[in-house]
Amino acid sequence: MTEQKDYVLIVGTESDTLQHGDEQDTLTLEIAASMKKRGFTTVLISSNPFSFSLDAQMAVDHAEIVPVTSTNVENLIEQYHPKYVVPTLGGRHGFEVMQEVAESGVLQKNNVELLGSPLSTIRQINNPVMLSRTLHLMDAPMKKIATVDNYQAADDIVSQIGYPAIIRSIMPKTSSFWRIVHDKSEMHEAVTIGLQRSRAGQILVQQSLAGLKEIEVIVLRDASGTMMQLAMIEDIDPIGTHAGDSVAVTPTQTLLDREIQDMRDTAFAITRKLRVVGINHVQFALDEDKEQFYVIKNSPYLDRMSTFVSRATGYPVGTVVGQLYAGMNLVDIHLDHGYYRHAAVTEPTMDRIAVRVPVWPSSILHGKNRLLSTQKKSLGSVIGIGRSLVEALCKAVSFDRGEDLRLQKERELSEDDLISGLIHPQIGRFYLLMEALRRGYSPDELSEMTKIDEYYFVELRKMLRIVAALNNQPGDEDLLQQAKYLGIPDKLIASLWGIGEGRVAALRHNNGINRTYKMVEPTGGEFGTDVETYYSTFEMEDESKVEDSPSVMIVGTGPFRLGIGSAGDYFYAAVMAKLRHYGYHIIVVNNNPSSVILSPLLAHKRYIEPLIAENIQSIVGIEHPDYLLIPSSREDLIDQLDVNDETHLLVMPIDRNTRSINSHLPLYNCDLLYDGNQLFKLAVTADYQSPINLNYQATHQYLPVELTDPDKAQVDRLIDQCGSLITKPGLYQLVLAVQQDGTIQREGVLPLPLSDVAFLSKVLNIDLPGLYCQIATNVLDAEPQTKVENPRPIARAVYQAQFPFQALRVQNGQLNVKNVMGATMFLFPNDQ
Amino acid sequence: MADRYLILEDGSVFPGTGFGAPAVTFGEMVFTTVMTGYQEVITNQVYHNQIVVFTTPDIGNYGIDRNIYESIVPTIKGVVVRNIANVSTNKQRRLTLDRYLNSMNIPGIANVDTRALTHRLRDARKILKGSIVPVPDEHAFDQLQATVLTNQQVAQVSTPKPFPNPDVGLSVVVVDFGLKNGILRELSRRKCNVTVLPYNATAEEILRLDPDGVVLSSGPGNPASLRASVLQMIREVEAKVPLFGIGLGHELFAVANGCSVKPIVPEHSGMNHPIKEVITGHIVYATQNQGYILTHDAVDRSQLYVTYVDLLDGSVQGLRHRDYAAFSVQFFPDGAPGPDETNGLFDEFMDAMRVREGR
Repeated sequence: MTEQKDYVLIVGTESDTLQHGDEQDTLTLEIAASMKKRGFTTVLISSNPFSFSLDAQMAVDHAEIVPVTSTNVENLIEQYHPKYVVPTLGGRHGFEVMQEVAESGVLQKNNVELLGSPLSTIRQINNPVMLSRTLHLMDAPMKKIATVDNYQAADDIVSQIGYPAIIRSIMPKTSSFWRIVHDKSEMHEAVTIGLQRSRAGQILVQQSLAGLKEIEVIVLRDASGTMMQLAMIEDIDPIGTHAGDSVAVTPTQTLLDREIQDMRDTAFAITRKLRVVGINHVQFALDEDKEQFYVIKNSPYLDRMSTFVSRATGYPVGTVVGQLYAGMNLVDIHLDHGYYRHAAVTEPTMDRIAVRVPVWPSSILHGKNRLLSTQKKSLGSVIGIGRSLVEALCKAVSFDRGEDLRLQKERELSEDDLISGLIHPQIGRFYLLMEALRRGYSPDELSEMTKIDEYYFVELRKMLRIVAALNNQPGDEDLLQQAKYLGIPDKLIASLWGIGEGRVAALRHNNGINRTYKMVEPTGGEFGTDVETYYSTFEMEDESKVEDSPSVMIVGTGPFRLGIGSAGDYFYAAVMAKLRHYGYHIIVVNNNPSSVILSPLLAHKRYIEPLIAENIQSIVGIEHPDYLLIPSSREDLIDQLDVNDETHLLVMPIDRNTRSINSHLPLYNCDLLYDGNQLFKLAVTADYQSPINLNYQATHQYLPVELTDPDKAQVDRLIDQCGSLITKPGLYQLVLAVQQDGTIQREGVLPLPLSDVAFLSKVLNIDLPGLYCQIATNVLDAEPQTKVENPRPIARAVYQAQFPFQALRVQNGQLNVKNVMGATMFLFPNDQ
Repeated sequence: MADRYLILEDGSVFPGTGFGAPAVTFGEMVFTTVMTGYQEVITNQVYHNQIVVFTTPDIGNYGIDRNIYESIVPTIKGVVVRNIANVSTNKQRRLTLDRYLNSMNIPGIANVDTRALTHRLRDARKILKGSIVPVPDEHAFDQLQATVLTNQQVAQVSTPKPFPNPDVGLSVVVVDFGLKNGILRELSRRKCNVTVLPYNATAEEILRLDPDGVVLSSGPGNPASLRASVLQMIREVEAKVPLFGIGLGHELFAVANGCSVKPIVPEHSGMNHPIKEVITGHIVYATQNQGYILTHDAVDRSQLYVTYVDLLDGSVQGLRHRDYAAFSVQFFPDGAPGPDETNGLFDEFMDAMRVREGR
């Protein structure tokens, strides 16, 4: 009898217009791979075409491309009879779905166990009232909140909790009523209106935490009850700005040990109470004046901060959590090469600073919508790692445009606009803070206005002083050294000195001011670990070792942004898997903490660095890769990089979706592959008509397309004709429009957008990125191309792009390819 | 940029920028991997004679807070770090770390590649001496080589005279080997009426006070450099009243009961090692500062049993006497800085005292 492997069903992510789905892909990959390695058969459910995990045979045995709904999860449980379900990778949505699934009885009936979070915990997370009851019972400090039905009672409560307070109607008659009050007269008015508006004649009076420090503690727990703190994260922005829109820094910078330990104790107690196995995030509001803190949120699932912490500390979160889910305890986990014994149960310590800086879709946020609030506005983020706060911040904010630190735009702001921008935080506020400092506002004034700790302004002022000195003393070598030590990019120095970036680099070299690389490992140098993740600084010791084997260096696509999402990461990840298979040593540079391509499962060596020419050039200079892969959107890099003859520069296909073809005529997209000799037809898809814009474009398409014989002949002829337009090997899309008279005409030929590559790879079950890599490099052994000869979709398939407008509350957003954030795909098996 | 240098006896030179007192200093080099509580670390007397390297890059970020000193006259020899912040943003907003160190005559050096330095100290075969100097010339190295650091460290840091820390609860004698305020803080929280005695107090002097229990404090240096009379005192006291040894107090308790300790290179200072409680298998984290370790085979099992073990270096972290209400831990259960998870050991000590009280 063969051994029956236990099945585990992993509830993956729905495509999500705010990127939560894409942020989970790397942990999904690592957890699934870790469980598979421990002998489980893994099933992943997700409908995100950009998920690399769905395609990754190293991690997922059965990819189920269906929307994450309770019905689908129930059906899959009936189909696979898994022993376990992992509910912690689908975010809040995953928890909501799991509760519905549990209530249907299908878990009990099939004897399925939940991993990571027990059902009782899922219920509490889904129901804030239940959770706060639990927290009250265990004496966790919570913000005060009371229900009252008259002014006197409200006044009594406020005299206890102090101003500002929040007044909110219970069961409002028409629209909801919510107001922050700062004194008695404001309160009187708010209570009067609130009571009037309430159908129950009741209001909630609650303590306002706005302006307090926001802290997140990340706890790891195993089934035996062992708990460790993976990291504590301090948001530079106070409460009032969504944590995802705050600049976050780890380790904490401005907290006393006493405060840290008290929050740690509370976080441990909650994690124990909720019986979490794996990761728990506990968020606090810290009131330093009153020496008091409050629990504001608890998330016992994996999220964007889990990956940030993994990248910042060098602790392999996904791999360890996978083993915990597989039933191991922390003391028994042996990590692979590079880590010493018991590394999994050693609390990470850092000898570097990591910051996470949000990236906002500024092209679609206008006016009031640029103001930051408790509603998240950012779509992606960048990570900056340095040996000082300023260095880490400089790396993160200059991720693609170093010269903005010159504050040209901000100089023109009137004093009133500046002050208003300081008091009412808005996107891109970092530059406003810098400008205020430049104009001479003192750190304590700014701290008063912004509720940001004075420390941060004192540090930023160090940088402004150097910038001012650079401005006054062009060419000064001592200053250059100080500037680089602080983390100021060459691009800014070049702009201040009115010389080219190349001149600055040359000046650096002549004066021996060189980058050194430090390892991102979790022991602060105490142990000789060998974690091949690096960041740069300007110090004495360099730890980066260069491998002798043939290597490929990949420049990532950076943070998730509008029009690209994670399709670029999907493409790269598939290329990397292919190249790894062929024995290449894979080196990656990226600054998106959530990017799957930074996973050690894909990259042998990882540089967490800004994607600017200065930093890339430096790495190319040490690694001398055989191939250097650069996204085509980075013409600046392609122009600026000085690459020696042994390195082949390969420009990856278009990674920003710029297709401008949309039409009021129905469109067909013919997806083609040209290997240098022959043109292969991959698929023909058709666009749905947009019910809003009444046009056709590739944001919503399906295949296969049923063509009449004459139409098919026309299409084939047009494909043959466009052969002459295609000269370079690659993936292309021929767009055809059906004219009013029924004839079909060519609209244009363009490189196949990466979003379509991701979708087609899944539908045709062909590794298109791998094939692209093969034909574009022209070095890899030719694979049998039978699949390409006659590709057939595994099912009828629909691709639907997702836009962030609703989540961002943007009115009249343009539903075009430039504003795509994610996508969902649906498969309808051929026999249905 | 450099205006001060850290030099090591192996000949290496680390340039940096001075802060704190502009004096020349000599000391043993140790690194600490703690990420919190620089003020508590700097004022802990366990670092007497030592120049401490912080592997965490930033210190000084909130200045000096009046409530978190671990001693009033710090005896650390120097501070090495990557960045020093010149601010005071805590509630009192009075004192910066730079000004504090200056007034305490403690030199510091910032802008040092502390990761390179940590690697150097980690890979050295012995504890290296170091010096913070204005010029790293031959003369400076000669001075460093010629420097002999005292081994009478406890005598230098211990209180010369007894002093009380009155409260209304159980009576506790704390023997001061380099007292850390955290121990007094924990006893105060439990309303103990404390008398602190010098390190060379005899058993007779201690027992004359009729204490409910005795705490052997943490402190700096080698337990073997203390006079045998201290060990004799421990043996007499443990037989009569509950006894709790911490840090150096743990090492002395072990040696007094037939064990031997040996120096470790590098010294261990941090709060991230998993420590296993032997009886439950439970993992805890606590602040550790140790230059000496007790290995399993060095434990005299006829008198003692092991209660805690460090999973990374295998060292014995806790002991309990088979016959008496006497126990000890190598780590700091008072935290400051560091996790509170082993704070309950003070309650165990209280329980042991109450049991005796009831008898």
